[in-house]
Amino acid sequence: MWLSGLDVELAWLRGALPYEEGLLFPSSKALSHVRKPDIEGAIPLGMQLPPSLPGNADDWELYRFARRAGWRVWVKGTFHDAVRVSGFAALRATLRDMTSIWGAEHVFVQREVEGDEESYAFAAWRGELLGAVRVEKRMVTTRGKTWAASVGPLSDEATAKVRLFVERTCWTGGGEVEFIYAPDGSKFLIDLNPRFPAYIFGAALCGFNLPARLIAEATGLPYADPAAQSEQFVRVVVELPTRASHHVPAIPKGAAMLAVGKHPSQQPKLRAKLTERGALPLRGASRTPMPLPLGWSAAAAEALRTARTPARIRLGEVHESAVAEVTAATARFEEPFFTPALSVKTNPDPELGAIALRRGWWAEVISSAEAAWASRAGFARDSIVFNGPRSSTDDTSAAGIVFADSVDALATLRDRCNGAQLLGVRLRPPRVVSRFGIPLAEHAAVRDLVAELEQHSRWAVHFHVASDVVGPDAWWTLLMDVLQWARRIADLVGRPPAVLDVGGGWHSDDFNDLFLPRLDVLNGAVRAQLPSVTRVLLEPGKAVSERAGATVASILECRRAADGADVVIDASIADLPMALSQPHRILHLPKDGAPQWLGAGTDRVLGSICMESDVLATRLGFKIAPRSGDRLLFFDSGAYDVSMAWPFAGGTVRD
Amino acid sequence: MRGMDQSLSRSDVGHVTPPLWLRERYEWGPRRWPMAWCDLPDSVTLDCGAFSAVTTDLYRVRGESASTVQLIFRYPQQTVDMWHALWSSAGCTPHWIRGHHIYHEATALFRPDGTIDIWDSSVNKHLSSRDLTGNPIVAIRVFADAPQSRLQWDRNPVTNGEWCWLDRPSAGK
Repeated sequence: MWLSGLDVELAWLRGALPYEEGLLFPSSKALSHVRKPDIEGAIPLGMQLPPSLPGNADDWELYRFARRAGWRVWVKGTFHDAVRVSGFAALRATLRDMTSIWGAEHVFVQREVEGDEESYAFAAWRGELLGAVRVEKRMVTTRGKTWAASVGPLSDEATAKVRLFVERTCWTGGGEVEFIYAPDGSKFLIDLNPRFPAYIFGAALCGFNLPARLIAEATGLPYADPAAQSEQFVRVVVELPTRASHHVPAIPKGAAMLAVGKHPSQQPKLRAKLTERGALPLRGASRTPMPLPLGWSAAAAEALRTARTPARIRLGEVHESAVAEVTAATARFEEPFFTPALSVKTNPDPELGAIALRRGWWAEVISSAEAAWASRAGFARDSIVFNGPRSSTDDTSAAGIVFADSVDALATLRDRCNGAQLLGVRLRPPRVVSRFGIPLAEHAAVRDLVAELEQHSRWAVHFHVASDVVGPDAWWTLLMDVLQWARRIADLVGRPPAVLDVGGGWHSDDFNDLFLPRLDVLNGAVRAQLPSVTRVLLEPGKAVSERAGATVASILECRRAADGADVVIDASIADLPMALSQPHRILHLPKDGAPQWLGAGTDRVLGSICMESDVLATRLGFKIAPRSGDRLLFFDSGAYDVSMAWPFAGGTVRD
Repeated sequence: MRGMDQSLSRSDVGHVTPPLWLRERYEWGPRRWPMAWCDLPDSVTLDCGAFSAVTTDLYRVRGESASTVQLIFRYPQQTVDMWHALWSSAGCTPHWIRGHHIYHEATALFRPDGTIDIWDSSVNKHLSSRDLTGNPIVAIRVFADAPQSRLQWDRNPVTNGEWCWLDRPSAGK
């Protein structure tokens, strides 16, 4: 009898053992029904599949996918391994690590589904369901493995679905259906393991010995379920003495440790053997084309004309278009009026400021220097909004509205401004981890805020959470939350706010696709919760300036690496500081030949400074061989890539 | 508390959950009475009565029909001895313990079809009479705002305002 507990091992056994008798695991055909991520078995089970992308999709698509999921995504191997990632750098690093273990075609990125984790563990013999249990996870490891659970019988409806799956696949062996039971009642299949789960003895403790049922059916031996000792189990680690004949070798050191230490089961090697003999169909990369940035051809032409690199290219028409779009979307509302405000910190380019000013935008500043910039640019005092931790210490006299980042700062501003400006507070919703704003989760802070606001004849409220960190859905939920908090605070103060300021690190795609179309909802929510608010300030921030700039660099050297090319350019993370946290669309401009967009691949673009972190892009592919002297044009670098760039290796000291 | 519940009992995509955050915010344990609502912000520990009162209020604010539910549990001697010592050492009277039996409060949620769900914030779970193990509930009394003639909890008929005794084997031996 052969019973395997490892997905790769049983796939390998199917090819290695040329007979059927005694194999207590599914056939190769049955295994094809459970291959992740597009598990065909979801259909008879009546379950949905969480959205996913192949791990070899290009960074732009992966970033969009994960960002819109609020960074609640998992990087998974098709056979084994699951790592939750919470940012672009972690996504990139995890994909690199898991690809090196499992191969690029056997790694995918899956959106996390909200809900309770459950499983059906079952045993089947030649298409007949022998038994199944429902397992509600109570504790899981950081990798999502079940550590404690409640076990009970399956409902008749669920049994019928598992039976249908078993019949259709003519299943033999153990199996586990892992799914998320979403709050709306739908079920999302996250794994269908072709083996008994590792915790299966816990089910036996609860009265369901599924492996025994399988072996009894296969051998004809008598069998009776054990008495239930409990309805729950918890796993423990047991230390065992080793036999002299099974001596455990010393742990390899250094790189060798990294290579073998994580998988003593040798599953990655088995996976490689399976791939070699063609037993595993390979998944192709995503076919979704990367959207081309606006104004790219004009920018490419200018990049080729540029005498010295690295250099910035301003895409004024793109900025003009973005500003016009936001202006049009906001202009259709009557009270509360929606007024866009240019976040000067994203790119203090006077020409970009002039475009916003012409469209009637306000300016949002975070320092007295930026306030002076806005005044010089022509913004009137009443249309300058001062935000940030420096508002209580910097000179804010150039601004008409000043927001405090703490209750103490608000009190300082009250003393200093003497009613000459509208003062407001930034609120930090309870679920948000942030250093900014007044923490609504702390009762003392709310109590102090109410006491302070009672000293003000009018006040304003500010909400700002990074949408590209928490995700657009969560951002919206938090905004609605803050509106209700503001209403509760207003009730306590006895005086409602006059202005609402809304900001939040929107990626330009999300701002245009998801935020602007919902302005109606925001307008309605403000009217319902805070009818006293006459003006809503919108800070699109980098959503309008990011696309207004590109950065051109020259290739210095091309090196052949183990599985791709390493291309060294004359720009660095000092020129493109956002390269560490988000991808850029990159256009390859050969000295002789047509421009080519870089897609997914195994090449890297390295910067020019002597820092290990100076890696500007990875997992990309040149369509034609890069050569020294070619140029690369980095789009989407018009915001913080400009304002947060720093002089480095230029032989100068920042004053 | 209502603001916190509005913030913390809603998922990123707007799904509303039971007030799980209460048990994260407060320990369960001995609590001196009387207790006022304004004591809550500075409290560290709540007993089942306080958990139930707060939870019931939060559910009502959400628009649900809810009230405190009274329960009697039976536990093994070693368990009630431990609780007895815990309350006594904190200077609180363990009057809710009598022999193997203890008095407990949670929150009953009344559904339009006459069924009742019971949410127990002391342990963050829905109470069920059908667990085979770990479920020593022997009696229940509910107080519906709008008296209904036919109430049912977990297939057990329940009469509003009256103690209903569950026919169950005792857990303590």
